[in-house]
Formats: sequence, structure tokens, C-alpha cells
Amino acid sequence: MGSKRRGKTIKYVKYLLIAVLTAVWLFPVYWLVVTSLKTRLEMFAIPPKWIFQPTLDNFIGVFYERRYGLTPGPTDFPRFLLNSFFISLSSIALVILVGMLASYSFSRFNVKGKDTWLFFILSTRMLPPIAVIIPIYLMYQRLGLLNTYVGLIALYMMFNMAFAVWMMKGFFDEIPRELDEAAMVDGYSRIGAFRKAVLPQALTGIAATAVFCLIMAWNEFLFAYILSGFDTRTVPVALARIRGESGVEWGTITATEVLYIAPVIIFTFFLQKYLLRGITFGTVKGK
Amino acid sequence: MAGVRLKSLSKKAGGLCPVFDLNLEVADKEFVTLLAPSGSGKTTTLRMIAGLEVPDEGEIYIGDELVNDLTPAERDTAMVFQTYALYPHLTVRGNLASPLRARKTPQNEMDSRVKDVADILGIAQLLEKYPTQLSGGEMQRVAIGRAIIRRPRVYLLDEPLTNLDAKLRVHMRAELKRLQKELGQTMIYATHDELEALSMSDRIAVMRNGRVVQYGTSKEIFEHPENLSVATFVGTPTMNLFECMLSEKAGQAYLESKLFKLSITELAERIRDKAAESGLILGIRPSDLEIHTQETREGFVQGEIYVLEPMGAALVIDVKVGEELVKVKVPGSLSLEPGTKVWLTFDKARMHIFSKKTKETIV
Repeated sequence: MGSKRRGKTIKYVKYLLIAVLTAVWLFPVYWLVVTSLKTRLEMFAIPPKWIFQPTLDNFIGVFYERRYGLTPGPTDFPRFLLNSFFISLSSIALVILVGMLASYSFSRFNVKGKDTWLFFILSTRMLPPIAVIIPIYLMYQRLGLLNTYVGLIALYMMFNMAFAVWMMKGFFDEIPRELDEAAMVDGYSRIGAFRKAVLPQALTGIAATAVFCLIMAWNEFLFAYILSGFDTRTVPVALARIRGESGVEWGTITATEVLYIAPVIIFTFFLQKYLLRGITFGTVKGK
Repeated sequence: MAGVRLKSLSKKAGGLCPVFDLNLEVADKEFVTLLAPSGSGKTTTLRMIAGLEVPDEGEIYIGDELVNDLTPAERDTAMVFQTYALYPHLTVRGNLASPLRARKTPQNEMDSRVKDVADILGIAQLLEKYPTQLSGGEMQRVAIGRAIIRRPRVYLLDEPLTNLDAKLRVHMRAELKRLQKELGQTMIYATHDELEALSMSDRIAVMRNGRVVQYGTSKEIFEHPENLSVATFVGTPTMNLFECMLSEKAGQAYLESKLFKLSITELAERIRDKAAESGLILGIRPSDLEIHTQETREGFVQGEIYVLEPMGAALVIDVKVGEELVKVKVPGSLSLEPGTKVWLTFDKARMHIFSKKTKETIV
């Protein structure tokens, strides 16, 4: 009898813990959204205003601003947003394409020194990016790659490749070799077998990998900050720079942030089922 | 349609069961089985023929063509895997059509051939299903269908029936045999089940440790095993073996052991030399022994019934002879009691004598 009561108590404690943790984790997000909907005065009110009239002024201000001494005009935000999209999507598309072939090869073939290669690839992830920021900056400067799309895309490719190859190799390992072999005996070449027999099975895994890499590129700050200029600036960098320009416009900042994280949240929310399946190697075995 | 010839085929590296100096010749339209316990290299051999493994040494001919350097697709073989290896993301129709699609066959031809194959194998009603929705037997038939739809030169089957339940296995054995005869195809079949091998094959290649230990028809393998390992591997229950020596006295020769003294004067010539090298082993299949409840003149050994093993149509009697247990296979209708004293005899034409160094001498 005593153990049953204990069981129930433990369950309540567990739920309480989860509720508290969730509140702690989600509170910053909540505060962010709420702040973006407040006026400047309301933002700093003490005690904080829980109930208020929401306003979209901040969001409008993201796109269309009043510049001191100048006529109001469109901000540069659309440009930054476009840069973020372009750089993230291109670098991830390339990472997946190249990484896919590499991880398939590691999975299927006896590459000479395979373990060494794999460890080498993994080691790039062990490297704290900030350790190489200076050499990379100097290198980019010499090569004229500062403030170029190519430069940033190449860099993101490099950093994401390790993760992508490791994850995708795991997914390919899960797919039995016999599927490749059946396809080859059927009459497909290696590439054909890959396309027709293996790839359809690995799609969830590859999609999951792509999403994770995308999120990493989307949020990347350090290298974008150092290596981009006005033309290639991404939103995270632009956000950091707002503070330097015309006082701390918290309204604009929070509104920008909400706009920036919104796509990721929506995307992940709708795809969570597939992502979960992808991470947990939900491939069907070929029997 | 072509025969297959393997010359001095070897594969030692690569983490698979190795194969040493394998020579095999399969005639066109023949059904040959590679019979061996697991780990003897039969899968390795099949994979080398298919082109999925590269041999270390040796040559593979399909028809008259040396195929060592051809890709699996170019060799025009078809393989049925032990795990079926069906494409889970395609329907049964998609799976069946895959070989045709790979060779860019026009759509209407694909459709008609899929229909034909599905009818032959009785799976037409499953065409729109996915592999995960099928039973073991159905999956296996789809795998076979995928192999036959292309009419390749050679079929390679790697233990395709192992994962089916017993009744289905027996049924599919007959189906496969019938299919092979109907299609007139060359088939190379790998299994560890001697019953499958004996019932389906034109010829059997018994393998052990990566080598072919005997190659012949079912009858030859069963009645004239060339060595001890073939003799004991094929046949259930296993052949009874008795160690003995050749002794000659006054122009008569005998096989002697603690348990018996067998007159074999007529065979003395043939055994003498081999017997001199080492001891001999006498082998008699349980089905070749006769059991008598009364003493007979040409009695072989005498013993007592130890235990009865009823097997439905047949009955295996374990007879205690001295310290040994001898198994005798008799029709199930016979009724005897444990403890009964019995005498065993056999037809001398059906005995096997082996040199202790695993060689057979006579039937």
C-alpha cells in the first residue's frame, strides 16, 4: 500500500519538475514575444505589465524605420534576411549533396584508412571555431573572400560537413547492404542502386540531418560577424549591430528576433514527427 | 541460358567464409546445389558468381564468357537472397518490375511481364501491397518473381527457404523444382539442408571448409559418399560408424573390432593397402540395417533395444551393442519393446569402409 502511494507522489513530483523546467526554458521565448508586442514604455514598466494592448509598431519598424534626420524609408532588414536564407540554404544543400555521397561511401566501401578519415572528419567538430577565427580571417582577406557569399558558404560547408557525414553514415549503415546488392544484380550501376534502392530509405534520415545543419547555419554568429560585410550580412549579425547604431531599440530587436526564429519554430513544429523518426533511425529494414 | 564453370576459385580475404581452389562445372539448364553447413563458403561462392565479391584467384565463366571483370549488372544473373532483400519503399509490382526498369524496358512490356510472373507464382492479388504487409512465404515468392522476370542466364539462390516454416518449405521445394524445369533455367542453389539438396538437385556439390568435397547426383552422394564427411553429413539419422581393423587368417579376411568380426574375404584385395596405413572405419546407414528378434546366421552384432524414437512413418531404434549405441531405421509399423534382445544384419553391398584418414574404399 505504501509503495502505491509513493508511486503516485513520484509521478506528481515528476510532472511538477517537468512543468517547472518547461517554464524556465520557455520563459525567455515568451518574454521575447511579449516584449515585441509592447511599446517602449510598457517594456520597462516595473512591476512588469502582464496584460497590455499589443501593438505591431515594432514589427513595422523592422521593415520601415524612421531614421534620424532623414526621411523614413525601408530598412535593410529584407536584405539581411535574404542573405541569411541564401547562405544557409546554399551551404546546407551543398553539404547534403557532397556529404551524402561521402557517407554512403564510408558506409559501403572499404576505403583505405577509413577509421582515420572518419576520426579526422570528427575532429573538425572538436575544434572550437574561435580558435581559428584569426587565421581564417587573414586567409579570407588575402584571398579576397571577405564579404562574399562564396566565402561564408564555403565556411559553413566545412563546419557542417563533419556532423552531416557522421549522421548520414549512421543512417546508411542501418540500411542493409543487400538492398544495394539486389539492385545491382537487377541491373543498376552503383549510383543507380544508390538512387533507387538506398536513397528512398534514407530520406527521413537525410532530411533530419539537413534540418539540424540548417538550424546551425541559420543561427551562426561568430564567423558571419567577422567575415561578412554589409552586402553579405546575416540577421544575427545585423541584430548585434543594431545596438551600436541608434541607441538600444529593444522593440526592433525583439521584433526582429521573433521574425527570425519564427520559421525555425514553425518548421520544427510541423516536422517534429519526421525529425524524431529520422533521429531515431526509423528506416525500414529490407526484409 | 548458360552453364557455369568455376576454375580454381579462391577467396580468402574480406571477412567472409573463405573458399579455396574451387572447381565446379554446371551444365546448362542444370539444377545444382551447394550443400554445406553454415560457414563453408557457399554464400561466398554464389556472391562471386553474381559479381558481388571479387575472387582472389581463379576464373568464372558463364556460358563461354569469362566474367571476372564484369559488373553484376553485366553478368545477367539473378539472385534470390536469404533475407529476400525486397525494396521496402516499392510495392510488389515495383519490386517485380525493378530489373526491367533497370534495363529501361518499355512500360507496356513491363506491365505484361509483371502480370505473367505474378500469375505463375500466384501473387497477382498482392501486386499493390508493400513488402512489410506480406507474409514470409509471400515475400519469398516476390523475391523469386523478381529473379525470374528477366530470364537471366543463371539463377543463384542463397538458402531461400531457410526462413520459412517447415510445411511451407516442403511445398516450396516442389514449386521451385517445377519452376526450374518449366523455365529450363540453370540454377545454383545453396543450402545446409540435405533434404532440400537431395530432393531438388540434378547434382550436388558438397562443400566443407571452402572446398568441394564431392560432386555428384543425389544417388551418388547418398549411396557412394567419397569420404567420411560426406557420408556423415548426408542422411538422417547419421550413419553408424565402427572402428575396426583388417585381420587375415588362413586365407580369410575379417573386419574386426571389439563388437564384431565380419568376414570380408572378397574385398580384402581392395582394402589391404589402405588398411596397412591406418585403421578402418565401417559405416552403415540406419536404413540399411535389419533388426531381428531371433538369432540369425549372418548376424552382425547382437544387442539390446535401448530406446525407441518414433518418427511417424518411420521408427528409429537405438540398440545398445556393447558400449555403443547403434541406430536402426525401420518402418513405423514395427512394434518392439525396449530391453528386447535383437540381432542386426545388413546387406554387405551397402556397407561403407573408410580409411581412418577419411577416405572411402568400397560401397
